[in-house]
Amino acid sequence: MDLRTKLVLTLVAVSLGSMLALGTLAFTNAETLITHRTSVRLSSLTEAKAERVELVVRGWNEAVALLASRTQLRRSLAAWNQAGSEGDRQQIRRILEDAQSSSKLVEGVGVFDLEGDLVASAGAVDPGWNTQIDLATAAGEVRFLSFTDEDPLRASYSAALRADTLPVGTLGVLLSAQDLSDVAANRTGLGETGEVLIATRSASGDTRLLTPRRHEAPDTDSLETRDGRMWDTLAEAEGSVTEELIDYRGAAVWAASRRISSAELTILVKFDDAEQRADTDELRGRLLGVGFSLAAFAILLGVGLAFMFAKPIHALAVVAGRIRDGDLGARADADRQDELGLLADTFNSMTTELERRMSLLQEFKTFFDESRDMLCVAGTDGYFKLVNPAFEKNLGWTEADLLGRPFVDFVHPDDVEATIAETEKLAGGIPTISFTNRYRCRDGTYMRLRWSSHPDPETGNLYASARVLENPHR
Amino acid sequence: MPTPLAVLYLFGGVVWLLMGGDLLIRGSISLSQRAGVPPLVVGLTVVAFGTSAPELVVSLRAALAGYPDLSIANVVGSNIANVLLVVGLPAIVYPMTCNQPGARRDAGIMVAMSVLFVGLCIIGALERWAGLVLLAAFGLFLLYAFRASMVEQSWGDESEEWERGLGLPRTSAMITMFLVLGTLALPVGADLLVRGAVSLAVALGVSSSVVGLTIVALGTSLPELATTLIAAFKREAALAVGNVIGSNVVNLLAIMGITAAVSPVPIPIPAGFLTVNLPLMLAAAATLAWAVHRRGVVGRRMGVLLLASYVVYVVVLL
Repeated sequence: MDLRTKLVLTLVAVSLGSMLALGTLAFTNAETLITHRTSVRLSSLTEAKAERVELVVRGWNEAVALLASRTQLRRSLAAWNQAGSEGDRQQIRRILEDAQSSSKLVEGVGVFDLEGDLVASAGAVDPGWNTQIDLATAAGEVRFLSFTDEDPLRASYSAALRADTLPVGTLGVLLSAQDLSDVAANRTGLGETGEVLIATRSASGDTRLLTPRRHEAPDTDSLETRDGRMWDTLAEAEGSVTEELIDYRGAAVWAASRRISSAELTILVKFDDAEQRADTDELRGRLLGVGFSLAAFAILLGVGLAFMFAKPIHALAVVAGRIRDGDLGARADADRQDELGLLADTFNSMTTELERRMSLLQEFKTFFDESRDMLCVAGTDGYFKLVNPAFEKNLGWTEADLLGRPFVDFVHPDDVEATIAETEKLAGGIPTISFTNRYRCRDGTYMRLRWSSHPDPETGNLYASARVLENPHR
Repeated sequence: MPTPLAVLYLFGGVVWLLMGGDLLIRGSISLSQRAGVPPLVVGLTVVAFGTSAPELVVSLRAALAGYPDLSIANVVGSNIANVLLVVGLPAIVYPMTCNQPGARRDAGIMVAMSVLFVGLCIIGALERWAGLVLLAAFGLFLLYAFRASMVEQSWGDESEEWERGLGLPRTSAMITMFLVLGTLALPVGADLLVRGAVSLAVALGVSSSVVGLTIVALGTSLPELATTLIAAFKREAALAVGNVIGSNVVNLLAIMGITAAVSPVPIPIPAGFLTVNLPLMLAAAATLAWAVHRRGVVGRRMGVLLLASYVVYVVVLL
């Protein structure tokens, strides 16, 4: 792989890796923070809603207590209990009509005698009163009975009526529950998906939703979650649940609940998990985006660095190529103060040394080539390794002829024995000062040569020079 | 998204796209070399597609992300920038000759294909069939280009030096890594560029097509501009005009063709395209073709004219 790609990939890997580590840390912390913030928001919203509902319920209690405290009503009922005159009943009805019309909250009111029979009523009547009115109700005690089944939603209350501490009958009151719906309908602070649900337990023990839902759902009658858990979990234990809750739409939600036991109400506040996650998802997307964008600087840096390094290396390679092609005068630019400058400097001194040795070699070569004496290098294997042009000039054999055969092949048969003995002496490390033998020329004549020879103990090579003593051609 | 972040996204997107395109091209060249594909064929297919890969992924990404106007703006803006800027600016530095064989023919093809493209845009939003028409035209163009330049070529002896200069991967593992990393880097860059462009458009209060016509088009044309400009400074800008012509044809036929054929919704023609941008693209193509036919050279005066037109165009757009 080229330098540029290596640098770029390494830098990108390092920068992305470190940013990933930092990003993961930042993201985890932010996610915890957002989760915490949402939990707090959910709890405080639920608390606020519960307080509003408690205020509504207290208002209902007070309205019923106020009705039950009307002296004229209690006296008229006592009179009716004693005489049963139609006048008393008319009087009671007038009082009830007056009470009903003077309060927006009261939608219906009825009075029952000590036997539990209806004496008079005004406005709407709760059929449930017949079975629910409790004669044993303590003095002045206001009691919540139930919420009516019909629309509009109403809360049914009863209260004991007493005259001079003696029970004279019971009051049944139907109150408008519009305030309750208003509390649920106020979605301030609930975002795009949050909702408030207010529910009660019906006589059969089922959960009954009192306020309308925010979202459309195919199964509009049930509040139960898909696995039946959300309502139960929250209705049984007050608090917040932020995990594994699925609502009536099948959507994951965060929810919190409070109970108002005086009216058997449960308030549930919930947000969609997706809406909460949108924040963290956006954060994650942005962290990734910024991370990758910043890694672009690593890419540019890698490319820049690679060009910076590659340029002098490339220049050095060009100089090396020129030297390879024989231009020993070529020098690299060694102005830099860094390692590449050192490399160029070393390269240049290497080239200078090479040039010096090459010129020395050239001089020796000239000396070797131009010598009238025959100069040669021979191996211990009995073959010439190198011969100078004087050999060909004197003996007539080409260089290839001479190198191709053992040198004793060229020696006069009478001198072979002495030549071998002299060669063995040389192999033993003893130099030859003066040894004479006859060499066969190409034309078959013999030339007498005087040898001086020196063995190299390391390589075993013989360095020899020969001078012609008798030239048959002269 | 704040404006500096949008600009950072644009910058990061362009750099990742360039790196991805570069890795993909080098990996593909090595792969084709191993498969014994002649260099001419590689030049016409692998390299042409590789250099256009950034534009392609940006256009596809934009169309799939619900900004199809950004796709068409990127292509039309690229073609305008290619002629006015990528030819204009270096021509001021050094006059560009364009008399190499086939240049006249290719310039003619570019004008013809621009006319075809504008015609499709006049008919209406680019639907799937329009994409297929463009792709069919691209197929014919490729076939024609092959036949027109069917010369036997092989990888030369000097290919090893050339390989090292280009930084071509040489082992199978390296080739695979280049191709995989290139393929991964391109969508990363495209995603960043599209997100940055859309955010910047919102921040500047202009339509995303304006950002596509200018910044995105410029970003994806940067490598061509850089190589042409360097060549001009070295006074060897002979191939630049040919590259621009090839890039414009690939943009219109292949990139718009693939995008229109794949996009889930028809590519709409944004407001002002039929009256300003498309006529300008056509005029730029015709001017370049005229220069190639009449003179065989784009001189300094012509370069100044082209560059000035581009500056005026961008200023008017923004």
